[in-house]
Amino acid sequence: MATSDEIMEALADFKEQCNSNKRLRRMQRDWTKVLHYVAFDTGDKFTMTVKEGEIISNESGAAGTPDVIIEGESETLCNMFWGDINPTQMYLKGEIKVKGTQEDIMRIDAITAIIWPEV
Amino acid sequence: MTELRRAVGLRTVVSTGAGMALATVTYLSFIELASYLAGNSSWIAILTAGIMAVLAGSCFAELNSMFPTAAGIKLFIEKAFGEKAAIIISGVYVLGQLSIIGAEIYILSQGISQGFPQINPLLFAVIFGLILFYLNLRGIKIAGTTQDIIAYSMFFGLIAVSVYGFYRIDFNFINPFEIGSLDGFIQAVAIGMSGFIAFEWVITMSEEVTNVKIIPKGMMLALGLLTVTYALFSMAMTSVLSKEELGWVLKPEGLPIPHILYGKRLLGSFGLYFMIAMALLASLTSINAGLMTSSRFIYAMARDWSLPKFMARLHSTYATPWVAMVVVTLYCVAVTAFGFITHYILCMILIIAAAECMIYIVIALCVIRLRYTEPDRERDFKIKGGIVFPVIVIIVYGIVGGFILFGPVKPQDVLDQKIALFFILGLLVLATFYVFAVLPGMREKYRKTAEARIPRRRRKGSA
Repeated sequence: MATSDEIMEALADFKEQCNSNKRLRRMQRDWTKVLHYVAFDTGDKFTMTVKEGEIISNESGAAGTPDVIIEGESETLCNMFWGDINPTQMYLKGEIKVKGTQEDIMRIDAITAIIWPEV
Repeated sequence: MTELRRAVGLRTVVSTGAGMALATVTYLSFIELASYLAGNSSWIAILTAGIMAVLAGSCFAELNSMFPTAAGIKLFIEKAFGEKAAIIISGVYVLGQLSIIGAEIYILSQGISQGFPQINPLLFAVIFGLILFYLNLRGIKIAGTTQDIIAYSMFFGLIAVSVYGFYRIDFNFINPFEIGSLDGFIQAVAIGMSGFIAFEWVITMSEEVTNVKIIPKGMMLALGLLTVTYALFSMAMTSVLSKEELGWVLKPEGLPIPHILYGKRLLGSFGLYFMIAMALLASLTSINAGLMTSSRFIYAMARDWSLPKFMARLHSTYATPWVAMVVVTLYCVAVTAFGFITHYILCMILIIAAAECMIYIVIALCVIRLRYTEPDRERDFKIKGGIVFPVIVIIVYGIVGGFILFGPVKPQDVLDQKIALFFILGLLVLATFYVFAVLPGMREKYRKTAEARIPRRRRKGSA
């Protein structure tokens, strides 16, 4: 089980990875969204705000109205933000649940596919 | 729990489900199915196919309420019968269904050339294909209110021209209750099923809806709308057009454009262009959605290491899976070329109908198996009567599927039936070979690469 602090640390690293990737920034330049992450084993919630492809902030708690909601176990979410697991495999196994449009789900997966292509 | 900013409602679920199923090739199917019936009773065959689709739809609805995800069909089969079965069956299903695009573009092109003789049908097919590829590459999807307007306009238009057709013949139908032989009727129902293909793809909207219970409701309403519209339009076409005209559209030397002939007969030039516009809209929405869904499916399979990783490559500007799109487009070009070269369209209708039968049987089997293996999993929608309805689905679709590929057909349809049979068998053999002979080695290679990488979480000292 990952703590809230561990997930926040992973999110901070994820933000750095995404924002420093030029190809990803160009690809996501028209993507402005609010994402909620929910760890259903601990009940922790997190809000990620993306503006024109740049992750502006990661906050603890569910703030604002989300465009996408992603639910999973805290460990799964933590490993996902560190880039240590393939989110599509988790999604296709039903271990990650996503609520949002197909376009947004695709975009989220695209982020990890670009920054961690080997996973 | 917070709610999504943009969530899809019932109206759009219905328009999407019904709009995906409504394609131009359906009109030809109606004439083909009518040729297997003694009287003008196509509506009975369509109604039967619609009721059967409702039964199959209820199986989809139960599974979707257990696993509400766009990954639907593969996930259902994987949970019930394991991953290998899931890859084989979903692969055959997707490729089988995509065959409709070949027939669709061919029929649409022939229809357009009736209104615009200066446009060569082949040239139109190429241009139309390029437009679709571009829309997909840009990730432009017809959705939401636009989808609603287009879909409901099409259904309203079809019902209106049908009723007007009835009025023109003074509601004088010839033998509307005479179905003829049982063999002929079953074959007619089997062909009628092709009009409902892809309605189940509405489950890919599971993650977009305000409430997941909307999906089964929307699916059933979409089937109802399709059944009524199809029954009316098929009756209208077969009543207004002469026997010679109906026979001509089914011949290889004829043109598969009964809807165009019907529009022209009923309303002259206006009817001609009206039906061209309707066909264009139907093809645009159904093919665009079909191409997008199948290329996303290939992308997801590649990301899951079920297909070579290069198929998950993304376009650097639009973030769309361009390699998967190229693969899907090439496949569609091949089936379209087959249509233009051979003029065998019925075989494509039979292929998609057989693929549908296969998936409905498998989905019903999944319902039964998961009732035993995961009895406690929450189900917002559960088919009443235990396993009675899934068993009925298996039996009914088993019979119909058998008729499609092995049943008695008219002498001129024998070759189409053989092509369909060998195509489906070929897909099954290829998919099975791939899963057992290619996939294990490929996965092992990917797994080694992934394992050679030190987890970043551990590297950073967070674990």
